[in-house]
Amino acid sequence: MSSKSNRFIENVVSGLHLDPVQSTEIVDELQAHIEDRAQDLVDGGLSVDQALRQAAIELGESDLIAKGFYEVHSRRSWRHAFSGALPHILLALMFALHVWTEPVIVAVMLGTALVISVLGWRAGRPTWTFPWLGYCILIPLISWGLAMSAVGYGAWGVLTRGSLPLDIPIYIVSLAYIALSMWVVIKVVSRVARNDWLMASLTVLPIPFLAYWFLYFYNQKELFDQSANRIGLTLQEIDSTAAIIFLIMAAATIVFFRVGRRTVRLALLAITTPSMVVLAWLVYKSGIGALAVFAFAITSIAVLMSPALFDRTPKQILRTTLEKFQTRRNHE
Amino acid sequence: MLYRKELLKGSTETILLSVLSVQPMYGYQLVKEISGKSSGYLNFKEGTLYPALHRLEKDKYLTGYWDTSKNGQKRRYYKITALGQRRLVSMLSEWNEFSQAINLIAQPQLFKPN
Repeated sequence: MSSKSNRFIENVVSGLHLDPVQSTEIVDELQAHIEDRAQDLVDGGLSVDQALRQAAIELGESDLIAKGFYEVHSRRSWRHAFSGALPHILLALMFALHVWTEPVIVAVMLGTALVISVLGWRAGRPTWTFPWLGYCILIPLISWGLAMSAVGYGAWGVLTRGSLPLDIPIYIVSLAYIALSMWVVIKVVSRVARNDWLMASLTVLPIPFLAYWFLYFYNQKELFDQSANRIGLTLQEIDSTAAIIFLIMAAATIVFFRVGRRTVRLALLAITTPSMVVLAWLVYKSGIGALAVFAFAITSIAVLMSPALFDRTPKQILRTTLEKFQTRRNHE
Repeated sequence: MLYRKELLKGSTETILLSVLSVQPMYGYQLVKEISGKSSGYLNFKEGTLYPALHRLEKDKYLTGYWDTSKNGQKRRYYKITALGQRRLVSMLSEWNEFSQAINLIAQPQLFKPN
């Protein structure tokens, strides 16, 4: 295969961001086209290399072709989009009805998310299950936060009093748990990001707002005290804002699935996340400074974009397809 | 030329469904068929053809399948579905009405209404 047609296929694969089966099929189809066209050109008098080069040029811009395929294959049905937005809608309902403090309801919600995520994971990981998976990731993340507090508390005790306030085994277990839970989260996110890191960003969409919300209540030290008034705000007002924010997440998820364009998806996630944090800050008036919220919003975007680090699939697919192509060539 | 490109872009679906309503074809064969039938007037930027075919397949107007030709080359063929046939009929009827209206405006002396 000429270097031009090789580069063409490389560029298409890099821009596809689809699952390996789909990517391989597309590459096979384009390769068949290049070979057919090249054969005609060879018959017309060109050398094989010239013909392959010309055939790749005639196919057009690889970036546009990849974008076209991505748009077609990543755009989802309304049903798919609503299924993906459903966990956010349920969370919005939980807050709107002020039932998020009911352990049974929280357990049912997390249990449902877990069941859907596990079943989805085993059934080829349909993308609508990823937002559900996001809530499952919360469980290790929150408990990771608690374990971190225990370790931080211990470190503080050593620094100030020269002794550990808790028993040593608690710290060992906490540290082991932190390592294990982070490994699980990173493993899951990297797996989701393998084909398209934007899917992993969609998965972790609620995390920045929930982190802000959790920190807010942690600051107020009244997490489960429903009767308390907080800085002029009732729990009902706080919950209504949270409900609206979850509805924004649901709407963003639906738009994400319905729009096939990658740039639009990226912009949607980049705008939604800091907007939710700023909205919460404006309503909650939690005494956090504008600069701190700005830093939090920037960190949120960084967290959401971090799955891009795991986006390695194009190279893997490329290697496989090129190896396959070389083998075929050698047989001929 | 730009106008032709725009017209072609807007008519891609109709052209592809029309050609495939005759027989199943693979991508490169479609390009040659369209170019040949239009005496070279309609030349697709070949790469854009494939996303268009995949879109039609996703919308269930076409079905795609792999088949091996006599020379051993594996190719992806596209076949029009019943839904695609219905879509084509409706698009052609729309097209006829549209072109008739354009003709009546642009060349009223040649195309007088009944």
